[in-house]
Amino acid sequence: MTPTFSSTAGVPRWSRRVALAAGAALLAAAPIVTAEAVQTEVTEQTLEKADGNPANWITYGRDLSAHRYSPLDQINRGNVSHLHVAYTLQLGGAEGGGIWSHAGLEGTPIVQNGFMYVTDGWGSVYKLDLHGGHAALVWKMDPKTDHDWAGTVACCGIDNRGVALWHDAVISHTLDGRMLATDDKTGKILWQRQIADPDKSESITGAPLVVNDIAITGVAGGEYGIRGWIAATDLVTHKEIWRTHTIPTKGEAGSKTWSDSYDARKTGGGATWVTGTYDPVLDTIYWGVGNPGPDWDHEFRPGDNLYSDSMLALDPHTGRIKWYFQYTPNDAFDYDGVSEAVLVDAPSGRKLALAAQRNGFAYAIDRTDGKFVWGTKFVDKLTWTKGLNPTTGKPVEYDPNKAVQMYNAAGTPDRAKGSTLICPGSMGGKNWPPTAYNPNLKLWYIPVIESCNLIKTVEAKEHPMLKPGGGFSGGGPSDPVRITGSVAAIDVSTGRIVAKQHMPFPSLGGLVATPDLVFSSEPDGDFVALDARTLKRLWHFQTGSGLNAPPVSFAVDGKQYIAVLAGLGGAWDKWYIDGTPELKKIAPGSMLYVFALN
Amino acid sequence: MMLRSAGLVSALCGLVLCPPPAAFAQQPQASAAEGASIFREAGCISCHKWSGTGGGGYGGSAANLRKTQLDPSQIAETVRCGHPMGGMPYFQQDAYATNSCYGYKQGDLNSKTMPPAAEHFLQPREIKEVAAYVATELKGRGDPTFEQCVAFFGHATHVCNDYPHAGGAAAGAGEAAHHVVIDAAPDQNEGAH
Repeated sequence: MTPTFSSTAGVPRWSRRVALAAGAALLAAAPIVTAEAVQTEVTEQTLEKADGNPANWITYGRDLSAHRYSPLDQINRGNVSHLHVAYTLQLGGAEGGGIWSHAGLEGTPIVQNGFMYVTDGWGSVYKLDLHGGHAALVWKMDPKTDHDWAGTVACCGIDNRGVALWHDAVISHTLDGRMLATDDKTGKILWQRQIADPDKSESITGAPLVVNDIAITGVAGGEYGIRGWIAATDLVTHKEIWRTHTIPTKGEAGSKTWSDSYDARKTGGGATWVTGTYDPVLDTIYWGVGNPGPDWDHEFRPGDNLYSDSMLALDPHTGRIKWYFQYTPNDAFDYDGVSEAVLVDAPSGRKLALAAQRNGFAYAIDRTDGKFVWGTKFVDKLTWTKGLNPTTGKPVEYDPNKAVQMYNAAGTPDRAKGSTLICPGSMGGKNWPPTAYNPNLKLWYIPVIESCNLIKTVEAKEHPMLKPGGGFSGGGPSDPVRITGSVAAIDVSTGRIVAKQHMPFPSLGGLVATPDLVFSSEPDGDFVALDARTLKRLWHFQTGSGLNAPPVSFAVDGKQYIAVLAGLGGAWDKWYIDGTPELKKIAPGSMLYVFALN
Repeated sequence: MMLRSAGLVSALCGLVLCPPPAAFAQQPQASAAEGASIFREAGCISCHKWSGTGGGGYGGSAANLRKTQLDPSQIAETVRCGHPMGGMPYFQQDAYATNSCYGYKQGDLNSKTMPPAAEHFLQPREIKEVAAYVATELKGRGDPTFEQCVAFFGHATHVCNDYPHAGGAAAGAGEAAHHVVIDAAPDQNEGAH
């Protein structure tokens, strides 16, 4: 980003709104905004039109609707076979901490006017100058994350999924629970605040979502008996303006869905660890909520356990919950409902929020009111229910009068069986790796984990004495069955799967769509281009690492590039590796790959 | 080459960079530090946690080493050989080449009963060190304390915040500055019906 402000009176450049509010005297000394500044800075206005500049990728999902669609078409069906590595850059931050032997890369690179912003697992931010056909480090901001503190309470790896841009600040999170604003020009930390508390087993892995001059944060820790929340920080005052808990307190709407006599809601989980989306017309934030705690002992927490496993629609000004849609009431599977809501207007004109979940179903929800529109099974094997009620979208066996839902009883974990094979397995289905949407073809692409796993149910203790990182899971998974993957394409007009490409390994990194193509990150290091209509494999490159991060597409000096971070980390190689034994041999890494033609 | 290296070590130790070898051998703390280091680097901490309490966590349960009934040689055998039919890996690369593991060798065990191989194998000396660490610093030591945590991780981290001090003082007493303060906004949904 080119520096675009001059500050002659010592007023921090990011305090535009404060200056405006402080009266005429201060206003006279406020920074001068040039015409160019309006064009080159990331503001609420540019974010709301993020898909307007084809060269850039200025927010986590490329646009606030999370389409992850780049209209660039220099790389297309006809020439993708000539795609090759243009340049690479070795990053850092692969070291371990706490219970983790190493970190990984899960971040979405952000690209603005030829500069790229990436993070490593420990939250260091790297600003790279991509002009001239190579990546040159402009600065690195190391937040000095407390490795052992954060690494002891992180359930699922040393992860950070990227930054957000706001005026001349780069907004990021750390695993030990902080938000930082870094000066885009100098790489110096402008301010930081603690948002999550690792002493309560809270950590942060998601990228912030910036809308309306606020940055929204989700929390991780659903395996440790946290009470989840979503928090909004005012980027002008650096103060928190709202915090919405995902598990209601006693007496609050939804609290009766926790019908036990020992306050199970206090350790009710409901983490919010995947970045949400925003509709500026409806002025609504959409954010997914994770599993209830304990993960696998659903008899501990009779009731539907709101708002676990739900999509929430929130007022961005107050955090008020406008409506919710719950996918898996009284979840016994660890089927987090955290997946991003992809905001798509159907050909019928209906405003949809699409979300593909760990439970193996892809949902279309009316994003004006939370009503179910359609649901489609996208995994090969699904045994926990016979299907979704076509009117309500609830599993057909769901009975609102029952305290404990057994769905298809043979495939639902409970204390009596003790050990239950569930399909999809607890990782999904579709996990955090993001989907992509091609608005021309009206096709929505899902990165799929084709899995079953074995759940051991262990009765949780009432009034547990929880220790940071001590765990409150009510059992655990193991992986006696081979796990593979696929990419599925759903026609959003009909909700039907129109193509599926099977992959040898689960999809742990995610997708990007272009007019002709879909690029997929594979955990064995393969980087694959698929045909946008048929999902036929057109090209691949073996990175010699493990891909655990979503690809992006952008242009610098008029030339299109595809980029992806390489470095296998996350939950998989600790908890699920037995389902994919070949991935055991992949060594830790930390590398940026950038691809181009010629 | 050997002589030159030895000479270099002597010279460095002459500059007080190394303790005298005899003192090193006699200091249990130095050995504990090495054992703790192996416990961490070899990945024992991943399942058993720094304190050896194991249990819980996302991936099921590992043994609580503080409550183990195994004697030192049995602990060493478990590190060397892993736990047949359990999740504990074997850390000696050729452990099942002979009958030195519970009387079994490679062909005696099938894919279900053979323990997993460690991600990084240990040298026999390292196995001895880490087994001694488990036997003396973890086994029978009661609930973990703030002091033990600091001995393991050092002072540069907040990870020990919530452990009680030895002797029963409140958690983090005298360490109040360690605790984070979160300036959270009120939840406007609370009280809504």
